[in-house]
Amino acid sequence: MSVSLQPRAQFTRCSATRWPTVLLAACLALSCIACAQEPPSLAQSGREAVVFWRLSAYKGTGLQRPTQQVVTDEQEFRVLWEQIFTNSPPQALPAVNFSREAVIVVGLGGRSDGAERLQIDAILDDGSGLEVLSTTTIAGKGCAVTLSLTAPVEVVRIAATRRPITFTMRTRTRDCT
Amino acid sequence: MSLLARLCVTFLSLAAADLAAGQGAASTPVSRYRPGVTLPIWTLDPITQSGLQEPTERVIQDEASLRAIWTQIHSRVIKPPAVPPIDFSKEIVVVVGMGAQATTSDVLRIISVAYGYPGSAVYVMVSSEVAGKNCVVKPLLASPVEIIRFDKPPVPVLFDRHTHSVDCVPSP
Repeated sequence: MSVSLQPRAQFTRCSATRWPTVLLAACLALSCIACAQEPPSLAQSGREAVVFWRLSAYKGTGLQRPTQQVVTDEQEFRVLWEQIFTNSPPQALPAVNFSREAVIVVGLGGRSDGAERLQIDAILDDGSGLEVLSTTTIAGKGCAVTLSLTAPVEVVRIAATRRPITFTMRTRTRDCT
Repeated sequence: MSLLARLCVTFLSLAAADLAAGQGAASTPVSRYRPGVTLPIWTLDPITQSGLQEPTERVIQDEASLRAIWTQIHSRVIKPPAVPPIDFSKEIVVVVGMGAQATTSDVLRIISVAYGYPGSAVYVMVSSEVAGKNCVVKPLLASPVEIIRFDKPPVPVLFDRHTHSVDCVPSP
């Protein structure tokens, strides 16, 4: 905390004209305390958000095993793509230039709860590596749950990198009350 | 002409058009040319505060155009993200913007990209939702933009935009 408060001796001697300064200092001090209690923002953590493209316009998935995979060649992508669309009409394999891009696949594996959701929230770059942050949202109190077999998956593509990519998954419970 | 005869003529003309479209694309997998078939699309997270002040529907087919619109979109950002690498020999980018809005409550979404009947064009289906009755709108300037990319189709890309007003349930 870098804000210094006025010495107590001056505090007692302050006239009405100095009150704004004192109030400003107090506000700054309070806001700094509030900042310290919040989780660090992207800027504070010194990491940059990586631009990524999310695959959409697909329904369901046949990827039955939990997956956290970085795909760097077409053959590997083709195998995963076919698994994803096992239970739905086949989709043409998108053209990905793997010399310039990579595909990241995160899957929860088979679920018997249609309410579970998976989302890649951000991909952060700290200069030494990338971290893929995902959230699984599960149904909580009062939420309607369908008894359907699903296997939520997120497929994104990013600019190719040689740096290591790690995965972090958090779980959030949705409250529907 | 009787109704039955008219139906027959319509059916035959549509079938002929479909056949013609299919013949023109003999070297490409059939599944990608069937009318109504959706294309896998890759989307960036929507940008609410873009620099695109005018309603926009753009098909980007080269790097220079992408660079120009990317700069414009991120003109309100101090440190804009790098222009993503796109292989324009295989893919195209589509940018759809709502233009300047007086509220952040309006939502713009690209729903899908699909071959239209009889497969002579690809349609980008765009949905613009504006706040309707009973909605509490945040009076902030916004200019939502959606950016997607998908495999370059051999046919023209057209836009099919639907704007609807969505009413809100009044709070008790």
